[in-house]
Amino acid sequence: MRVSGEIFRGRRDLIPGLPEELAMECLVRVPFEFHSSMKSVCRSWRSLISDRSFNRERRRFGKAETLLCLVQPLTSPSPVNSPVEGEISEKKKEEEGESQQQQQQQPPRVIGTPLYGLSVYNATLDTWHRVAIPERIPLFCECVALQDAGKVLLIGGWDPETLQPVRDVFVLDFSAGEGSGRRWRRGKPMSAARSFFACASVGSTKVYVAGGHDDQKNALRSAEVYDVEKDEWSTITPMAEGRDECHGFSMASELGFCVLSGYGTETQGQFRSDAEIYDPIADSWTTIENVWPFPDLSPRGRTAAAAESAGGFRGCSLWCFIDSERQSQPRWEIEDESMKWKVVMETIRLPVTTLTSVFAGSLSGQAVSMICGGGEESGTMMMMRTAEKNGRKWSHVNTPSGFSSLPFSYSLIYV
Amino acid sequence: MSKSEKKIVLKSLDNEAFEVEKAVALQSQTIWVMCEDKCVGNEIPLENVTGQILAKVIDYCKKHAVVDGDGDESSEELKNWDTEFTKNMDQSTLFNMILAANYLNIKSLLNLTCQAVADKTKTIDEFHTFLNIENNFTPEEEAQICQENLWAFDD
Repeated sequence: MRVSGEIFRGRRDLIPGLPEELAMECLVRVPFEFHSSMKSVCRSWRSLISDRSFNRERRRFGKAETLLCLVQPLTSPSPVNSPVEGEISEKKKEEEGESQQQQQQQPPRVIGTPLYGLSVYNATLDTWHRVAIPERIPLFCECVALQDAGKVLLIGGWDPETLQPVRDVFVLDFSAGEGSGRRWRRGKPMSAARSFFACASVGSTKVYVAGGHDDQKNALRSAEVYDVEKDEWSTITPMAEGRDECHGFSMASELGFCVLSGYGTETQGQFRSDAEIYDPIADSWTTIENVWPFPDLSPRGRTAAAAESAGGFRGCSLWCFIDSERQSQPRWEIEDESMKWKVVMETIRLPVTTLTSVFAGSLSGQAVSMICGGGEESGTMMMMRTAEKNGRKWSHVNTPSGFSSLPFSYSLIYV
Repeated sequence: MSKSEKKIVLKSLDNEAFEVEKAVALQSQTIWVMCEDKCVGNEIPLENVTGQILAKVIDYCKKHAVVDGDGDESSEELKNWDTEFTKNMDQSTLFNMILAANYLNIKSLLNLTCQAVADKTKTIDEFHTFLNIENNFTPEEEAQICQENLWAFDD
């Protein structure tokens, strides 16, 4: 029941009539949704809520809420495009983009070009919200969370008007920060515009990006790292291969960054089987062969970090989500030639049999998937719960229609 | 165990005596420790709790002592009972319940009453009025609030 000393320094009477530690017992229980209001109550509350230690206290009391942040289209694309969205390769999406772009020349906005929004599923309270900021966020932007900094970043993607890849970075404060409410700002842009790239937060302040494609649809080898505290991008050694539509993961061990699959400019839609792992100490990439066995499938929305920690090895442990009819080994482990890095893949069967579009990920160690485009499960989020006797079982998450479109990227933050 | 040992008398700050089943009273870790201590007889003085509050604490402990033995079926009912229990408590009663739960070391009651405070306050006005907190921002600070770049949940 003791609360750490740092949080109380100079904060008398959080609640008149209750000792500090009991006032804290009450305040850590106020849902995240009302934290903005709490900051406008009085000075001592403002400094309490603004301090990052408040989030740590909420986690310590087991009262932190789990937010799944989803970048998703706000309006459904036209019916012609929607059934295969997510399954289609980048090439096809690009064609869509082009046609939309041509139509763009006649204002106003073309029907069928979706606006994207940042949605939040509060897994603790089972509620859905949309984040409102006065600017349109880029289409297909990457969403990445920095837990210790209490921030969610939206990076790259396409300009909502011109449909060209952008360098944009949006930084949204979720827990920490001075001021009355929750702030957002534009961060320093990336050095190169890119979309459909690998992205992951590594350690407490860094975000790595690699690959994707530029405005000429060239698959990119380039990579850079963002420091959220300094608001600075630094270029790092490029990857060995250009990788468009690749997927990125952080590795707890050695603060590494793993870029899975993707394809080159000349081989669009043929997903590579290898992965590259970045070692920040050596500033170099190591290739691991034969990690991704599905040349027709993008790892985006199909793979997720399996557990909170990587386990007792250097590398990462991933879930691979596949349709129930696809042939696959249940589990495979791959090491690079020097045997420094290892990737462990475990197959998870999705509760769909046909070519349904899916977007799958992980939520605090639980698998989640959003299913779109036909069947009873369409437009709903499913969560896989592990029951002791029956093994894993998918169950429905209440998904209002305004949140039922297939997400493009997601991240998780505890607030 | 003889019949007399099954009962225990709790005496409030204002000298009100409550005879309760030992199983009910022992949900309080503080009382449990006092009972372990052989120096205490069947009467336990609780110097920090008034009779009015102690009566409510005993109500809570009675309900939870009974239902806890019944298994899962009653958990929903118990939850509803808990909600009703704190629903109409005013601020001062709730605070006194929190202080009593803390002093008596009844973790589930402390959880319940702290949660009730959190649930009763959602808007800035509710924080100010229910919790009696003074707005001590200067006009300059208030003005600064309006100038920031904020995002919000758009429900």
